[in-house]
Amino acid sequence: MKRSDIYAALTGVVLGLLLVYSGCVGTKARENVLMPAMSQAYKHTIRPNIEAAPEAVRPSAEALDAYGVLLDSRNVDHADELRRVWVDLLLPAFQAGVQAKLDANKIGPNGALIIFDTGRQFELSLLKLGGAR
Amino acid sequence: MSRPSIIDDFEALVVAEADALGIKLAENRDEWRRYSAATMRTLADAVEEPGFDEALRAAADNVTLKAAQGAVDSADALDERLKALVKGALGMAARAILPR
Repeated sequence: MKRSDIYAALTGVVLGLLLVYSGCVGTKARENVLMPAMSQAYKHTIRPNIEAAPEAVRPSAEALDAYGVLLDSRNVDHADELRRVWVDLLLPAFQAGVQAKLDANKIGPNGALIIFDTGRQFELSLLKLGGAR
Repeated sequence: MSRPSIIDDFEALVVAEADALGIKLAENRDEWRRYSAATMRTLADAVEEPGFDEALRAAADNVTLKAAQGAVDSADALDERLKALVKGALGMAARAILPR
């Protein structure tokens, strides 16, 4: 085998590896940075406010546990399900919970603004998890 | 709680969370800095309100989420650059190998 053939083969291998690698960086960032950040926000702020919602709109503890497990899985394949459950079930309860705390004077109006914004940032993160740029 | 103390607490929370997640805040964009400053202003207005600790915690979550979104944007941009690099190199290789 000629030296030029070896170089050509090596170049092909490197390009092939780069081709495989491209696309992985975004996925890894979603799994190793975005999902853990979402998981933290869920535990610290999202879930406690959902649990403050009136019983009529409050999801079960099992449903909330299951959502936390999906976030902790660090698997972007769950992006669609996470978003669907957020929109259908969790977001209305979260908003109702923050409003209930505000009405009960457990938090103030500026605090409520910040906590409502956690819901918005969480939703933006869900969109990004599913590939939105 | 005095205003400087809030800022110290807030920054410490954000830096700790970002460190734990491996986010390099210095590499993030101006958008993140603007968002962080705006959040801090709202937080300063919330000092005398009930549930301030909860607001502080939420603010740190918000800024961390924003930084994580920026990290994903940076990673996606790197992916695009890699794809363009490979496409270009493959095109050059094809031109060199294929008969004219």
